[in-house]
Amino acid sequence: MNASRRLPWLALLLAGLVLALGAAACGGDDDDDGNGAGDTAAETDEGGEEEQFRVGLVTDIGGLNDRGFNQLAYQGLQQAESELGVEIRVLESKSDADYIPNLQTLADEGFNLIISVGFLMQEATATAAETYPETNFAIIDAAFDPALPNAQGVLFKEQEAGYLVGYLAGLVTESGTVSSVGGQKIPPVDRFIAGFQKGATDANAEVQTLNAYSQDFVDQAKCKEVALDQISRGSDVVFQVAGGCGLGALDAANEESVWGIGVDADQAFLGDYVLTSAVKRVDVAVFSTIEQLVNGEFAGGETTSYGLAEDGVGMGETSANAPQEAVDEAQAQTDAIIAGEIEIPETVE
Amino acid sequence: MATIDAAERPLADRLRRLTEPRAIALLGIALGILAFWLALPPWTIRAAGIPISVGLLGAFAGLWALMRDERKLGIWAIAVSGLGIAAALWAQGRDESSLQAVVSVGLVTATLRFATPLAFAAIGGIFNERSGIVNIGLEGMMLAGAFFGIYVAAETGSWVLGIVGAMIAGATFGLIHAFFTITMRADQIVIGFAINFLALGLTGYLFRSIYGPEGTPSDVPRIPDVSMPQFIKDIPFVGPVFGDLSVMTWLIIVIVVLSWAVIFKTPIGLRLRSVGEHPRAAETVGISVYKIRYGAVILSGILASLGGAYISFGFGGSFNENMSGGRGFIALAAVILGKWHPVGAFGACLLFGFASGLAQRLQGEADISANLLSTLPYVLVLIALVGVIGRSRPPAAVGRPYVKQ
Repeated sequence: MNASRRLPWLALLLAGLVLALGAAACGGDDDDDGNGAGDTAAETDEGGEEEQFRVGLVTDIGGLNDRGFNQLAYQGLQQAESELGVEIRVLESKSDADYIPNLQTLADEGFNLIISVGFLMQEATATAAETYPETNFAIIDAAFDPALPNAQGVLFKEQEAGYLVGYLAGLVTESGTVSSVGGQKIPPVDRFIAGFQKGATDANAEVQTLNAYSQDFVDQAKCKEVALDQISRGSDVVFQVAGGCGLGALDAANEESVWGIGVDADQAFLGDYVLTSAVKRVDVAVFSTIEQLVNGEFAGGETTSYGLAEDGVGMGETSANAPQEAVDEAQAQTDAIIAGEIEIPETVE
Repeated sequence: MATIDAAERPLADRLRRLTEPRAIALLGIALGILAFWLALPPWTIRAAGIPISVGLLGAFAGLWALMRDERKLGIWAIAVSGLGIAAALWAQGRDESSLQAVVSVGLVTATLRFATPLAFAAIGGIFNERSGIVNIGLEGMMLAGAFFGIYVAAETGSWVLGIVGAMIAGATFGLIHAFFTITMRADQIVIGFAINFLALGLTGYLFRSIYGPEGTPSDVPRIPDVSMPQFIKDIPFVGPVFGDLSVMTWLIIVIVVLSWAVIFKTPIGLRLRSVGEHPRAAETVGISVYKIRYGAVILSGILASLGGAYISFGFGGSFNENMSGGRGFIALAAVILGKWHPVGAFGACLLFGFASGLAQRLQGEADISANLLSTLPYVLVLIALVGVIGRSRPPAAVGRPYVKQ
């Protein structure tokens, strides 16, 4: 009897504990920004009584610590905080059900610009942009169709980075088979893969390409399985295009002593088995978008595209074990791509 | 009553006879043979998906019959279907330099790798369900094991201590679950979900504050593989499959057998089951319901956390947020599919693992959308659950808090 009367109290205690943890997690982010906030105040003072821009970022599932995509977006945001003096806030999505609530939270609090990170948030962001016409929205990796006056799409020419690393893969492969592990069959992933396949076969027409999707951006085990399967079929260069999940693919490459290729962020720090990375400068795009806002040039209703020419994508650091002449040859393709001499497909058949 | 009704309606009776376990099992055997036949002349079907789906259907029919006490024929149907698929694939790969054979060995190892973490959680789930407690929190307990395991391993430089760390974390979460559901008699589903959220938030927060953007160190000590002597590795098929299995895979095989023995062959197992079936009666004969339930739930936390440890620093080499990816829930399904029996649940985990590995490999072979293929394991589990649910009976007292007299 006693126990059942104690129950509501204990339930409250448990709820309080969870909330406290949540608050602690948020607090953790704020702490990181502690120094930045001070600088910001000083800078805005110098600029007079101007309003301080507030920029929010909503991440896709995978978290800020994915050592890739989300983390890069956060870096761009932090850069904007220190260099442009904007106030920043990050909300992470734990599942796709969080997209809209997160966007709403920031919009209700009067943020000037809200940036969604990831193709999968496209619909949620479009809905939010319609609901809050006074707020500016931008989305990384997607375009708005139909265009919305207060929303900007930010795309990358991933195929250009994919082409460069694919070209290098085609030059270094000894087995004559290279492979890619995609997270999901969505346009930004497929642009990387399409470029990779084209690059590899342009470097060496004999090269066979394998491709499969893990259907996951978080669960490393799935990507590792896919990669192990590809390696057992003869692939000796594995290109991961699956965010945090893809770390498993690189782990498989390491274990089986073949080359791995990183994606989004420069993943050379993982070890010498990382041949290179197909870098996607999400930080550059996020920073540029915020810069537009601060300068009063926010391109609402448009879609901005970042490629090799804009330094939005590129080939990352190459492994010390990679043959230098191959690296040079691959890098030499850059100018031809910028000049538009090479036609790179954007879809995987 | 039912039999009288059937006698009065001959058509219904005939239909019923067609769905008898015996008939279904025979159908399964036929399908297994058909799977192989389709790959041979005069059909010579080269698409791997067709014999595989036909064979799986056969295996499923066998499993269905097996669950309904048609043991002999059921097992035969499963065996024939499995052989049918293997033989069909072999036949299809004949002129492609036996590529398919290589893939099929890889498929077996992949099946084991997929099944290992699931099986740990599923065996844990069996213990708590047998004691009368529903544990939806398996998912969170896996995640806790994944994080704290790799954390301790990285800090101490020892994978053994990492496993111990994972077990302590799992036991702690089990204790929390047990305290609220047993002593406080809170709703078991709600507490399970609270455990999941708690684990997700806690591991996510600690992961970020401890490791920052670089993530867990890349030189974390890993749970090693057991390398068999060379003469075993040289045996065709057996060598590639069992030559280099993870310590955790061997451990789970031992645990499956051990938990079967404990639950069904020892006094403590009898007590466990009696507490789950009729706690009042158990207490009357002097069994402490609370103690047994506490023990079972804590044990389930420990087992689930071992599954998590395998994901983060066994098969994988680093932690990321929410990396358990729903395995705890699949394990729950495996418990039900395996009818609360360790061997059955392990079989269900293998089935799921096989389907996952297959779905992944079929991407390259079949002209089916990868998105659609990735649903194969889940569809299979759903079908299996629906097919088995008629006869599977949970412990009678499961989900109901017990008030001590």
